[in-house]
Amino acid sequence: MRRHRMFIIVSVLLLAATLALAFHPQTAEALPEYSAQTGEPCATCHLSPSGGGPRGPRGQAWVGSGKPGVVPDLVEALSLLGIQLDVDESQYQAPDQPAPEAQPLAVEPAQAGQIHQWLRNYDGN
Amino acid sequence: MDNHQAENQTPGNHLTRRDFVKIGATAAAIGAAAMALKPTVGAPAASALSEQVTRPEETLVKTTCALCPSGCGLDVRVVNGRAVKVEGNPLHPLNQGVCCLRAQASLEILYSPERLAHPRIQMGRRGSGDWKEVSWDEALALVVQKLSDLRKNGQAHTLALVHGETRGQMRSLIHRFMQAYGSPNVIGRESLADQVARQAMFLTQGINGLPVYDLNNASYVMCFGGNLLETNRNVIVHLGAVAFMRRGRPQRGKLVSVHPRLNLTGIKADEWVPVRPGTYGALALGMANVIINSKLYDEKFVRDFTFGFEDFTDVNGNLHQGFKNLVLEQYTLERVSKITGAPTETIARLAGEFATNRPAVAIMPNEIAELNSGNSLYTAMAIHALNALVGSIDVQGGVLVQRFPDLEQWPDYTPDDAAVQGLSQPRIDGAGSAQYPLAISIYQNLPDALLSGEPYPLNALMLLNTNPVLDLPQNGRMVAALEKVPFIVSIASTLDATAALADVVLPSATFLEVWGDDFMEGVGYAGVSLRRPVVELVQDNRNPADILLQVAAQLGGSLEQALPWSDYQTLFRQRLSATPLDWEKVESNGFWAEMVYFYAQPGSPAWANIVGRDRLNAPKDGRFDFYSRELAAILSNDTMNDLDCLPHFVLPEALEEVVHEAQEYPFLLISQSLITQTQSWQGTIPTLQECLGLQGNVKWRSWVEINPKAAEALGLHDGDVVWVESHIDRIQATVRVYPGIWPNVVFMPLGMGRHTMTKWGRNAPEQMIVGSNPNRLVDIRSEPLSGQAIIGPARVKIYKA
Repeated sequence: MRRHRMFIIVSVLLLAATLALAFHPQTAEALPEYSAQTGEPCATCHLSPSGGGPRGPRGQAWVGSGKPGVVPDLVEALSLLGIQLDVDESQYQAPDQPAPEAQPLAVEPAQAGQIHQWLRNYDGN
Repeated sequence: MDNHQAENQTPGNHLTRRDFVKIGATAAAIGAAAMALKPTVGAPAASALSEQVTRPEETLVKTTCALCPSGCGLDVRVVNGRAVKVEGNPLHPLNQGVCCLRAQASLEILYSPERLAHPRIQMGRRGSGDWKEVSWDEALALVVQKLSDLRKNGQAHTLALVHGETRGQMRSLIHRFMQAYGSPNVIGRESLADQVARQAMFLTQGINGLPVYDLNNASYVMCFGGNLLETNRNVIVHLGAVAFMRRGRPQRGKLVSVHPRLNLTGIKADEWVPVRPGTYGALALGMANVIINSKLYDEKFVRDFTFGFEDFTDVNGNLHQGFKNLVLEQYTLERVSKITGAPTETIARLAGEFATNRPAVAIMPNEIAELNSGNSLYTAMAIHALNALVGSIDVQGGVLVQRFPDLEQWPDYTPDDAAVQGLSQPRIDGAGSAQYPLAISIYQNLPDALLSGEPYPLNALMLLNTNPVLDLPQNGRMVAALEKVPFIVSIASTLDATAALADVVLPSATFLEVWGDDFMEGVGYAGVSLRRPVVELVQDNRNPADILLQVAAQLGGSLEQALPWSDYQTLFRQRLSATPLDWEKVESNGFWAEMVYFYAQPGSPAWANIVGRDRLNAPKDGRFDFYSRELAAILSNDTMNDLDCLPHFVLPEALEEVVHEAQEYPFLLISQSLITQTQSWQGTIPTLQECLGLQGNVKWRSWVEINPKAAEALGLHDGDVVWVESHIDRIQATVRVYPGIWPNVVFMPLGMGRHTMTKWGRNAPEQMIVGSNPNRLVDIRSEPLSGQAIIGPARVKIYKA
């Protein structure tokens, strides 16, 4: 009796596992597969080094272009996303010289109305 | 059982190896059969059906949300011309496919039965509900006639346009419309919320904009008030960044929430630091004291790229106090602990952690009712000063400066006489006056200005996506104030509490039906999201921007010259032509963004855009001002002293121990918006209302949170209905006993007390008012200099209803 019950339990479990595999949704995303497919580490596309979560520009461009075999490099990715960067990186680097001294405070009285006009025209939403 | 059989048995049961193989083979066979059948299962039925049923026409339209200031990208699934589902746009840099519950529920706004179908004119007494639906031509003709008459009579300045949240170029379109019309009175709602954070950035860092916090790369994040992960302007960006900061990278960061109430951010934070309401500035200065005293600050950055840290002499040889000595002398741990209620060891530990776990950021809140205690300007400056102390300006994990797409200049026009004359008049709200020099708008001054008729009476009021009757009840003064205005036109999608009192209502299309632009904020790099109609107009409504352009065209004169576009889509596309956009890609992706933020090293040429760029009266020398030279210029008079230019703490009036008031009204009321609430003019969304007070099972009513000790003293229990009363009004609420709140503080959610968009709600009768509006308990006033609204804490008492 005990043997019969065990037979049924194992049968049901094995059958359930097999059916689950058979009908497993094919759209499920096994993220390490993408890494294997492209030969890139997870951090190429994701902000997180371990993958998952927010994507960087290369990841966004890769998804946006239909997940091809190769992840576009940054310049190509930005181009695919419709972005043309025109940045001189040297502008963002500090010169190798000491910072100038601060000028002593010299107060020129401001016009309140002028400040209002100035502040009102901020950029953004 | 023989030995052979026993050998083949698995120990512990009676299943033989042979049995196991048999079972496996059977299961595999069934599985294989199932897999073989899988492609054809249902095929005959589907094939037969496809002959009978026409496949629906289905599209996925990318657009941009407008239900909060985040501006997330959305994918809207449209079937046979009807929007059926909203999800996040996976390509969009802000939300990366995430979609909050507001956007999920936005179809309830689109298809609400309460949307106004046509323009309407009030036929009887205001508020009588005696409406006549009219055509757009008729409604616009009436509005244009009234506005034209004012201009002809030299009274253009007596028109005010009051507006809510604007996106993309809409704000500058409104300003241009009113400039060309000839009125200085454009009044936005920013004085209730984020205006002061912008002012603090301007006065210290010299940038006229909101700060961006690079939480993805921060090691230590400290929120001084606010609700970073629920209702902040960039909530979706912050939710993703905080998750990444704590779980998505090898080195975990820490999130600290400072607030009198354990709100959603506090719950998700690593540490909640309860303090008395309105004392964030003192805590920041106390931390600065420890950091400076322990020499934990970034000495090189402070020496080379800040101003006013040490005491200094001006060009006339006068000695001035600097930030360092002010903080060391006045903000000792003991004093700060007494003000805030936080233990000295906690303050010292937080300061140490902040200074030694760089990059660290101190966050100024930008939500409504957060920096609104009457000391907001110097509080915001004190919080931002911590960022400079640890050198967190434009570094990875620090405070960034938001960039925006380049725009074409507006075309030149010549203001006509009516415009010139009108613009020479002062504003009615006092913004930009000597009393409020830093204010862009002072929304809460509207009722008093209208009632007093000072500096002059208004003849016409145009309301655009705003609901001042809900925002500023002021003990009935707002309703009474509207009575003083001879002509009111409201651009609104439902008959909200203020639109109901208008003479003309021009129905506004929802964000899912219009073209628009939306500047990306909260990421640093420049970007713009596209808003586009996902379905045909559901009602006979129009885009508010198009309405303004149509009124301008019909008014003619300088308005027609200033705004020569037939529709807003043409306008924003033409102005964005200064940025190299591929519109085909913008439409297919839903946005354009640079995607890369370049950090400027201090002293580099690009540093000029990070510190000092927008200064008007102070040197653009790339130095962060602990001592605000801009404020020194603004306040340059005989009574000015150093304290006026330095971050410092002023005790909110409500916290002063005025004995009789403290006895009569022993509790301090604070309020916050929740993610389940839309903006004040957008009504109640039934599905969100169902999620409102899940913790306390209070959904269609207001609740008041009370500390268990206070509840015990008052004999109150969960679910009791009570009156919450201040010296000006009282409202009802259901008690929620909550240990996560400061002992003498009580909390009520904002955004309640609305009657619109309730028809779809479960058991919601028509004209049902949902909950109670806590603003009814507050006499909202204005803070000097900044014009920021003083909303709370308000003193209240509580008793059983």
